[in-house]
Amino acid sequence: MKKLVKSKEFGVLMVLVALIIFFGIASPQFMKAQNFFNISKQIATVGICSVGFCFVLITGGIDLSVGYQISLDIVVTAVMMNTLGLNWAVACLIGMLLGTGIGLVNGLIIVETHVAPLIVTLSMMTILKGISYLITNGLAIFKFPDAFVKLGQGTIAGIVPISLLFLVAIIIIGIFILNKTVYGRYFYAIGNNVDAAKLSGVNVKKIQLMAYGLCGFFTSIGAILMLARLNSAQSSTGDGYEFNCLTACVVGGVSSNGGKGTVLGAIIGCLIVGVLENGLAIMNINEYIQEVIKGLVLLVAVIYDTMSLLKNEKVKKIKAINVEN
Amino acid sequence: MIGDTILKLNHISKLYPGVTALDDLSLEFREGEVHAIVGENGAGKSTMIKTISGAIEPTQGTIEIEGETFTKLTPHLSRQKGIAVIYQEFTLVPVLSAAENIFMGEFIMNGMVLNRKEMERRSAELFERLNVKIDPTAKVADLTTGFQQIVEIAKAISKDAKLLIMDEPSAPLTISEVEAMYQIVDRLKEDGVTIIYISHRMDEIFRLSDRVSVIRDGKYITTVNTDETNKQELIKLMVGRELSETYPRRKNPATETIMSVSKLTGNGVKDISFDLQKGEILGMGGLVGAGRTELAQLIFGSEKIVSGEIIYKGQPLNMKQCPQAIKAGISMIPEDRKRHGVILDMTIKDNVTMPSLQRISRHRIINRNREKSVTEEYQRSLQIKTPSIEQKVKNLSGGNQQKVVLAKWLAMDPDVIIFDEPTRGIDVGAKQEIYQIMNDLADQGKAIIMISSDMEELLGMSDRIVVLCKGRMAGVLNREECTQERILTKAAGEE
Amino acid sequence: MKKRVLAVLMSVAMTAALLAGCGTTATSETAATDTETKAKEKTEAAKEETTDTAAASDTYKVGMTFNLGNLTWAELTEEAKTYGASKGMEITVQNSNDDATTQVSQIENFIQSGMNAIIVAAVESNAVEDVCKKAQDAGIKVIAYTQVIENSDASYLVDAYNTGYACGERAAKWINENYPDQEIEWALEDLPKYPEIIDRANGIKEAIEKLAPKAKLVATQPAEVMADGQANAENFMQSNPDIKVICSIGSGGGAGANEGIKSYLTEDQYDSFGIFGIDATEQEILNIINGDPQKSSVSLGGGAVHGDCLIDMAYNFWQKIDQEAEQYMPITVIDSSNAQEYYDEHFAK
Repeated sequence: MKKLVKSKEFGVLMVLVALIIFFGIASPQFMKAQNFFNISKQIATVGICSVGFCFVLITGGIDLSVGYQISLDIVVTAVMMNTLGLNWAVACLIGMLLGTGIGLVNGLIIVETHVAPLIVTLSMMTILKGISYLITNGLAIFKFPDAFVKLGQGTIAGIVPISLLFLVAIIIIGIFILNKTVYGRYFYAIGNNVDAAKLSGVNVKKIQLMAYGLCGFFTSIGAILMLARLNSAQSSTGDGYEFNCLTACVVGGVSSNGGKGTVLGAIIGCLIVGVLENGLAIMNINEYIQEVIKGLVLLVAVIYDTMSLLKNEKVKKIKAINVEN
Repeated sequence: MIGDTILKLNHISKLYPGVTALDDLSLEFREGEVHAIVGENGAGKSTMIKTISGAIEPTQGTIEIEGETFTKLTPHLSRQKGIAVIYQEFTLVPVLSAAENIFMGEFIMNGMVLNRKEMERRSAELFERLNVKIDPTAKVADLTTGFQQIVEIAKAISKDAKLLIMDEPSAPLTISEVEAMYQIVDRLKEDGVTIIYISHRMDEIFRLSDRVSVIRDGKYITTVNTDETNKQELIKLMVGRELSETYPRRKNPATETIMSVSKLTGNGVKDISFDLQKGEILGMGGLVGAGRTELAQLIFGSEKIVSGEIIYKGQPLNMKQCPQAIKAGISMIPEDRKRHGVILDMTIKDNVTMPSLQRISRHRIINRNREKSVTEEYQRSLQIKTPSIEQKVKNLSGGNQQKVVLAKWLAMDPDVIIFDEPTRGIDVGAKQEIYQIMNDLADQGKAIIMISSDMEELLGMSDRIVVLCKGRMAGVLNREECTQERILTKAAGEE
Repeated sequence: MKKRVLAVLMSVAMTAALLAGCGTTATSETAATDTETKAKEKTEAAKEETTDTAAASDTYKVGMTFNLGNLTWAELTEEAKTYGASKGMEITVQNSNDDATTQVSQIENFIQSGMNAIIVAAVESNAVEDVCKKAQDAGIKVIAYTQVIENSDASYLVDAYNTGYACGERAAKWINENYPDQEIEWALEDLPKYPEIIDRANGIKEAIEKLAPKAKLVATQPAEVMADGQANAENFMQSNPDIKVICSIGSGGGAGANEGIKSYLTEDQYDSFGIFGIDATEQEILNIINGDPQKSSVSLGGGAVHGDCLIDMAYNFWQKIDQEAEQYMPITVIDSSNAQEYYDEHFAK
């Protein structure tokens, strides 16, 4: 318990708990298992993408092309399945390869040309958007194999959504990479101090490339789940998702300056946004009021988190001073 | 000449939650004197400065300026009373001219526009008063660190400062710049400005100050007249215990050659040749900008070699990047510790295992237990003082941070260790520990290259000294033939 | 260094591939003209202004600015391109991206490039008033689509209220057939961002209130795209599990709700739930044909029909044929009785 209170995610976790308690009291429909599965379905894609997104943020980069990566991944997978009639599993594999490829191209341009990630990925976003619309002409592609649609809409034992399993699996993989592997440690090192990391023998280019590649890979998985859930592919799908991911990550304590944050934090950030949207909708609150409340809660979450972190740091610093004296 | 009391601290205490930064400190400064303050890092020197400059409010006690008593000061009030501070970090705007910086905040206006002419004229006067030649229109970014500091001093005295506090002014300066700074201090003293001079360097204190006050653990220890004391006594007062020799001696002599550098060129240095032996400390002297750090970067592989070669353990060392040098057993403890040495926001453990992370991992998965045991081993052997190895490095003192940098390289078991300014910004007690560690490493047969601008350190620690001048070799001196004068003449390119 | 060169090459290659792609579409949109003829056309256009002998020119250039993120409109512009070409017109389509500023620039560019007519699906009608005035001053015919623009020569409009009313009417009919005299609950997917859409929502609400007075509106949430519609449906079922009917002001809400509700019902329960949309997209029609929860949608003629109609209006200006300045889209309810027929007519390839 003490460990939990001291952990970096404690602040945002409390905000999430407070939200759940509030909605639980305000609406009897909210506190039902089915509703939590609904929320998990609703945040599955943004959650999965946020895992990759937080990797990139931690290395001190940003990937604004995530939204249209989703769009292109979806459209290409749909074309493979629908127009070309490939087996859905093969189509998904191609979609994942494409996503990873886009991530790697982003990364390669960034590490080799040293152009700011913001600019590179912003350009990439526009390019991907164009390609996506070129493929669809703005029209929808739909009708996919039932087995595929099950990925996004199906449940296990009639209740647990399959997409939730994917989300949980990706979270576990994300936490594993970030906390248990050499690469995760290097992500933090590069994000905190790229010069010191380089002089410690870290292959900075390779690690940055990897962060963008993983971001593209996870994004493609999120995109495929979204395609299966919507059962329809449109080029406009995914528009603005980069900001949903950014919001979730930042609310969850991932620093946009790099070097700080956890996968768990990012996911809690997603949950805060997801619970908020779901809860307000269930209470059937007016759309405009919803926007105001959403903004306020996000602000409170970030302020609360920052304050509690600062307090924590201060305590630690004083302890360190005491030992040295 | 030295007159009445200008500033008096009466029983000042400053408490932070759990920490007493200043403890019933009373101190008196007299008009026109150069008053040195010495004390280890964390002794409370900075807190004392901040109390005088009005940046913080003392928990208890009063401050008396020219007979007027205050329970607290504000930065504005402090300045009004003629107190100015030169901090270690400059407060200059690099893209603006020297004159604009000097009058920053109190620009001389000609109606709605800046009166540059007048500001430049007055700046020139100030520089003349300080007896230096700086073009008032030059951009601060284009000035050397020494000149930047002089601009900072000019800025302070432009506001008619009566009391100037200088916080380790020599730390960023080269040897020749330091000499220029001394002259400015002398000049200011002649003008009747009182100077509070904070420094770690004993030679500066004896060269400049009239009186020295010692602070330890937030407490006032004593004030002595500088010409009635000596270095050993001061150090003893500072650390509160007797330190043995300043530079510890080593047992084992150097053995075989491990590295031969021949005609190395690139990164601003040219035709550098020397041998490095196992078990020796090879000093590297020269002025700042002579190419010492640049040479180290070539050997460490972080910059490209244009021509020449390094024979290492009998083989030509062929590297493109520092990971290869690290793998070969070369380590570098960089000059700018906070920027290049440690990652401040990560833990001690994360920093210590950074280069060796792949070694203590299986299939790229970190072995937490080994990570912990490796870190704890070096924490013990180097005596890194911390409540936990999970502590962030930014919470450590300079000396302990330097030990973290050392630990991370020792975990790689290197054969060659390059120390670039190993004791810069580290207090006396910790310096001793670093010296001892360096000697122990040499005794274990490691080859050490030590770059240092601290002449005493260079002479005291090195077996041989390579002197560089303007990117070229100026010579190699053996321990017997080393004197401060010979190094300086070589470094200045006059021999 | 090699890698850096590679990276640059890759990005150049991607850009090149993209430009090539754009190039081909551009040529398919407008018959390729070299600069010389363009210049000639421009002088002709200028002549047109003064002498007003328009019918003499042998080609007629039409610029369209639409948000292509909207499926119906994407379909519309595709049809307009082919139909326009068949009538000897040159059609250029620009994506307004739902951004008023972009749209204004696009219309300015149209004026600059000497269009004869401009078709505007205004993102914000007030924002384009001034630039449409400029277009008219330059002798260009302005045709407003869905939104009324004051400075226009003709408009093709939706009767938003009656469209919504038709949707609500069909829903009320279904309620009376399946739950006669029962107090059932229903939910609405609206989008109170646009005045026209608010009119649609009002039409739906008033039709159900009047024709199925016992049905009670228990929840309202906005839906712009399918993902919204889907999440809304899930949330509706959570907050009010007794809901039997969902009406939507558009296809995103309709088709989205259909996917969302399906995970709540078994297939044999599909008949007991009704989703009523507007727009009649291919996906919606297929939902109806497949016997999904979606029971109807309201066709306003469909993107293709609108495309043809807009091109006809432009053609009439070209050929100086008189026409009504305000024309309305046909309102047709598509349900299981005519869905197959509608599908064959509009979507079968």
